[in-house]
Amino acid sequence: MVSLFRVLGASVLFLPALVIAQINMPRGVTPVSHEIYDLHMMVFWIVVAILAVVYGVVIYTLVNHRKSKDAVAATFSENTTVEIIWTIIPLLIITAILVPSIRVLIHMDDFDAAELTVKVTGHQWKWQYEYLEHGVGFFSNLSTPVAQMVGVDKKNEWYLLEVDKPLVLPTNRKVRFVLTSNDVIHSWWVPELGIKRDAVPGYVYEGWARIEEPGTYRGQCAELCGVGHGFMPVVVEAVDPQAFDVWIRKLASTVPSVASDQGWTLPTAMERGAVLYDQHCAVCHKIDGSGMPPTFPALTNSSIATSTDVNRHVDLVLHGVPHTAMQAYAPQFDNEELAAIITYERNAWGHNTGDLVLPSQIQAQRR
Amino acid sequence: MADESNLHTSTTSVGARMISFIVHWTMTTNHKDIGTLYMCAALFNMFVGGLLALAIRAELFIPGLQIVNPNFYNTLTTMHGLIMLFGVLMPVAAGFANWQIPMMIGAPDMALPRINNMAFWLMPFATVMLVSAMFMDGGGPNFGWTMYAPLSTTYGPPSTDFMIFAIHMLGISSIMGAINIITTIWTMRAPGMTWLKLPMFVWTWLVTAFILLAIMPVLAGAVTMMLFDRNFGTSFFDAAGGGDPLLFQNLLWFFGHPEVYVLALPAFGVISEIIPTFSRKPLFGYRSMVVATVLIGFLSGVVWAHHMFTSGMPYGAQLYFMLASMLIAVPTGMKVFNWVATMFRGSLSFETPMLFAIAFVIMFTFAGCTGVMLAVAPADFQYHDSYFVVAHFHYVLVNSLLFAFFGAVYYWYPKWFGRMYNEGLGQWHFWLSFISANVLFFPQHFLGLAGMPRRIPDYAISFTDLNMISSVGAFVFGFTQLLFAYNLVVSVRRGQKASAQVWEGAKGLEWTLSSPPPYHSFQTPPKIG
Amino acid sequence: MAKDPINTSQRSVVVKLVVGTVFMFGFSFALVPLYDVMCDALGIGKIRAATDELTTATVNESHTLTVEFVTTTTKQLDWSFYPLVKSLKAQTSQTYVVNFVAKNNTAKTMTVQAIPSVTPVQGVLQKNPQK
Repeated sequence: MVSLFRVLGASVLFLPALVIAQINMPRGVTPVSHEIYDLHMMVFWIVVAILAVVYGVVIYTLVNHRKSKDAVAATFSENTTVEIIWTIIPLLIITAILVPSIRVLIHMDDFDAAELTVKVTGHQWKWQYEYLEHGVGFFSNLSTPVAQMVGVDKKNEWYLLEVDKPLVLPTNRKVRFVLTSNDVIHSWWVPELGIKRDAVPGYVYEGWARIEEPGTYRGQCAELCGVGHGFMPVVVEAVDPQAFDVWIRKLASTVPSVASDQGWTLPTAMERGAVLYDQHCAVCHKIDGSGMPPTFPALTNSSIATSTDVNRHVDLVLHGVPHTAMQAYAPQFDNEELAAIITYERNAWGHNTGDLVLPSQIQAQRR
Repeated sequence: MADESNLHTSTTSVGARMISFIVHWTMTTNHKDIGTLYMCAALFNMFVGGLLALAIRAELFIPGLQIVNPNFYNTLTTMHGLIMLFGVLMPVAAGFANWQIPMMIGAPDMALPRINNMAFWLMPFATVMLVSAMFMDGGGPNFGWTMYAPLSTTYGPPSTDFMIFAIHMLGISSIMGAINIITTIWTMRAPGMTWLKLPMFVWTWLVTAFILLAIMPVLAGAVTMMLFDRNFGTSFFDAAGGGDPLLFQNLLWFFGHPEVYVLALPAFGVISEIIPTFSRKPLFGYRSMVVATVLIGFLSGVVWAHHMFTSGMPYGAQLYFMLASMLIAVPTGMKVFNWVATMFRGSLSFETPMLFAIAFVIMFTFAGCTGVMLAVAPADFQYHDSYFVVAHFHYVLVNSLLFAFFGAVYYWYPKWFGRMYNEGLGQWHFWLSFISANVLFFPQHFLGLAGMPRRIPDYAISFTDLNMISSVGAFVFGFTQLLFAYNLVVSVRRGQKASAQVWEGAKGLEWTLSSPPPYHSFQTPPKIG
Repeated sequence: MAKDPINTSQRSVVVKLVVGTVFMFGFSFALVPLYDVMCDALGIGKIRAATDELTTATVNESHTLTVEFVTTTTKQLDWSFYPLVKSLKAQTSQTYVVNFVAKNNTAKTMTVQAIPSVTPVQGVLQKNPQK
């Protein structure tokens, strides 16, 4: 009975080994990611060797030195030679690991001039990217619909790893990332680029990557940052440099949509507003508007959403509330989006104020 | 309790007996009673913390948000960590310290019995306050047990202040306990019990107690600064006010890393007691074990920033912390080799305590290896804040330390209560726990390598299979612990009576006492041979 | 009881341990200014250390350093803060002055604070000459 259990117990440890081939650290597409992968595999095999030796001795002992096999206990309790050996060998192993590690560390701290600088700002709960030399930027939001999260719709292949506007980067150019945060500590992690850097409010920190192959590379925020921590992915689209030049020029020349009230009706606003609210506001204020007071106030039957002072409502959404978690959303959405959200909040959940907030109203109140 | 003669006879009313029961257990200054109290509190908290873990694993069974909302999920992970660390592992180690240290050194009790009582009772009150924070307006603490600022300061819910208060009380409890333990070991050893005759369990607790005195006040300082930032307009951790969020991380980990050795050293101590007994052979390399213990104690205080490699530290700091963190593997590895050498060419038997001890050696070696991987700073840029870290520290805390403490409970239970636990049930508990704990945590290494971050309530499709396996393991592991609790509770009355020696190969002063030992033992110090 | 040798030695042990504990509590608060002292001494992340190093660095060849200036402001206050120059190519051993504009866009008085942060740290210490 005992030996059967022992075999079962041991085999459970090795079954997942079959899966290792598919699930390991990605080798990635940058020089740094390659080096980290190689270092990881080297240490992995050293660890396997150490475990093989230690477990080998343990198993041998368990099988052969049992009282039930009439083993007689030896009496030794010291052996200085052996102890010195098994102190020196680990020190040698550590040195063997340290040498390549130091080389990779030095390489990661390569501050030679980069060909492109991207400022990455962590927000609760999205990333903002700005191409510093070109003076353009945008927010990158999770685009997975809430319906997929709550099980109403089937989850798509890139569930939770897709965004509305990916970060487009050129291949074979050194890209420098400058990171900071708007609120709490976030962390920008793209495994295939071999880069993870904390985004700390009040600090600027940096990293770099030279992407060697075009493709789409996905990552996630890697520092608990509140309710939406699991919902702010990173998507990098690496394209060849010519395509990137065309793309960035197009982005820089895009004129932001002027406030146009044409065709803006209550049903249109409500429909758009419901989707946007669920995507961006419900994370704190809840789908039913009940929030989580006092940190996230309830919107249902709140004076802000139901009183006649629409401007106050608009001002609050545009510019946030200082010293609270309510962000200033003016930079993140265009006029139609904000008009839709605020219209929704004023008419949903039985409020029915009948107010239709116009995109031009939003524009007027922007600073 | 060790001695029932101070309970009233059956002619007293039920009410009077209940009052007498309560008075006895709230006012007791007896180290054996207090040890039992710590054990019971830790066992209860283990089920509370375990319930939270099951809620977490239930949500993570498949992708999607099925059971809890993301904010409550963050509260679950935060409270699970705080309860397990402060409400289970530290109290259970303190319980062993209380029961065993006086008996092992031939002392009648701890040095400061009334402080001992206060130190204990602070703990359940603090834990209740901590758990009650979950039910307050605005929800419970939801920023991870590591409480990074500014998420915990500017954006934390109102209940955070109660959590801070609870942590202060837990800290004071630990500090009082540590002072008591050091004073006891320093001044109350029986004549002839020289330092180099001290049992390993006592040595490990001596070093642990010193570490506690160094780190708990720093934690207290850090959470006090949190309290001030939250309520009194200071900017310790707010860059806009001239402060620094990274200061909090440095303070927290200056506490947090030695804290894991505070948990580990007593476990090392119990393993050093159990393995020689069931190998019928003395502990190999006693002197080097002592040296390794002290070395680990010192080194543990200078490696903290390996938790912060990605937070913006310069190359020189990364290099130093990588080096120091890898060095600490040397004395730890030395201990593992010594345990294996103790078993080697011994005469092994496999009662439940030994099964847990052997499992500890196997899984702790593995956990130590993933720790070395994490110490490699460049690689850590991929491991940090992923499930690889979660897997590593659960292999240390659950698969190693908790298993060691399980083994120790089975080991000393017959001595404490005079009754054998049920060996068959113990074996079931062991095998089910061993298998399920590995099913639970082993896949998580690969989830981390594949890119799954920590502390997320929902995940990408490709992580589904391994999460499912892990959750199944969690539920089996959780329910298996009911076997453990049942065994302990039932065997007190119905277990076979135990001898003084209990285990054939057991050596040490506690085995010279009866089972159970006298309520007041070693009133006159024993002669040490 | 007070004359009992064990109790006297116990009392002195307890006193020493309590003093040590209180010291460690004070140590954690002392870390706040100590943190700045250590950062200055090691040259980590503080501009003050940077300017000291820049004047004493020895350089053989002439190298150009590309310095980029970036600001991040909270949108919750209606103020603007930006550098007049986005980036400049600095020659070694030369001093440059960069101006920033801070503008209060409201009619009320406001108090704001700008916190500097420099990256990379090593670049500041001129360990690797820059292209």
